[in-house]
Amino acid sequence: MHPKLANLYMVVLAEAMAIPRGAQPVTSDALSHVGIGDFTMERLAGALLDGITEPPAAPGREVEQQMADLTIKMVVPANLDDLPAEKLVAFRDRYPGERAAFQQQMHAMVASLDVEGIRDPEALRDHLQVQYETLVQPQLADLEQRLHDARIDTTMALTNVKTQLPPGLAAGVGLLMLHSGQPVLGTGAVALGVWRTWQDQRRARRTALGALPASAYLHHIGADFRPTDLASRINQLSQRFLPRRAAEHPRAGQAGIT
Amino acid sequence: MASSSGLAWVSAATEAELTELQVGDLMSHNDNCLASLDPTIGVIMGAHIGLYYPFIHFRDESWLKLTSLYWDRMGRIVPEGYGLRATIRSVNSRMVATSATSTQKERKPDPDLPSENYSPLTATSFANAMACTFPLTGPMTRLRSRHGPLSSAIRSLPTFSARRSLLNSSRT
Repeated sequence: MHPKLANLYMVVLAEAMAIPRGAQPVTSDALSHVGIGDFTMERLAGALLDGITEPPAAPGREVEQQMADLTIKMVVPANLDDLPAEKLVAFRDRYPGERAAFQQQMHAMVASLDVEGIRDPEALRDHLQVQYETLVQPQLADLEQRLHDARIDTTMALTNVKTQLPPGLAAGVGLLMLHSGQPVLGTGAVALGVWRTWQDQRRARRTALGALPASAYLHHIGADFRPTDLASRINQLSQRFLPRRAAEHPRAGQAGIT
Repeated sequence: MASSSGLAWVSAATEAELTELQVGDLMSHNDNCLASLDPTIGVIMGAHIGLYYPFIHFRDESWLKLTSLYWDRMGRIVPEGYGLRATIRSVNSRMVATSATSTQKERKPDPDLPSENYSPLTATSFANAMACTFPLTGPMTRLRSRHGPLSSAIRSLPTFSARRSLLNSSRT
């Protein structure tokens, strides 16, 4: 079995199975992260079977969609290879309430992207930082303290959550980011990327049933990889899902404001 | 811990819980999580469940450990009859074992539904889509030349199953 074909099959399956189970697609593979989300088979195969097929031109049954991805620094245990699983399981079982609270704040952070009236990238960067400091940072500080109390050293990782570009953001600075050639902005702890893609028109019917849950990519990193670096990489990978002419647009894929 | 529904859960997921998850209009995971603020709805509806892809096996044990801090459960897509318990890595089996110990006294999983209650989401549908997308004389030629005919590759795909409700949803 060609591994790329197997991956393609699994991405299709994950998308089909996540929605009715209320599950969030989660991956450790960045390209698969970008690839889950209502693409036509031609578009998905063109991107995932890289080097085997060519990205197709946009046929009539595709529509342009605007996407956003949010990258956030996360606290994680250091030396995970040496950390016994039993110790980690015991830790997480002690704090289900805290874990639920963090999940709520992460969803609130994604929801906070739907902000109207911001026209300036600098203002959006400030907004992201404030939201991060208000919603996520206290939860992470609490987790870090609890890990230290359990004698577990900590380090940082990144998570990237992909969703549709919220209407409020699209009406303001999001559109500017898409067309300015600077599709990524962020701070040291959080980054936002926006990008265009072409998806199956059946999304309209999907939306009526319930949208695909925001998918997540979890990147286990060293200390030198910044949120804006990951957001830029996601943006570059998204170019594979564009029609060839759009992918060759001179502004496409440029790394953004840091 | 391969279930007949084609999903294996790293943590304490049972078919009973999945059934509860499917009750009501729970198509939006965001809504699920927000719903957990309402104590009358129940904790399970707010569970933060991940579905791992595009691999059956976790590629990195450390990565799996990392997810355990942020997701309540992590599911995998597993072919029916796949010997997952024998092949899963050590951290996964420990998590499953821990979860089983903590939950077996609280609830029993639903018995498997009769086979007619399952509709297969098989490799056939994928093969048909691929065949329509890429005629065998088309751009899949390179794939075929290196790895044999596409038809053989498709035949070797494992067959997955899912509940009927899943298949119906994916078709609509």
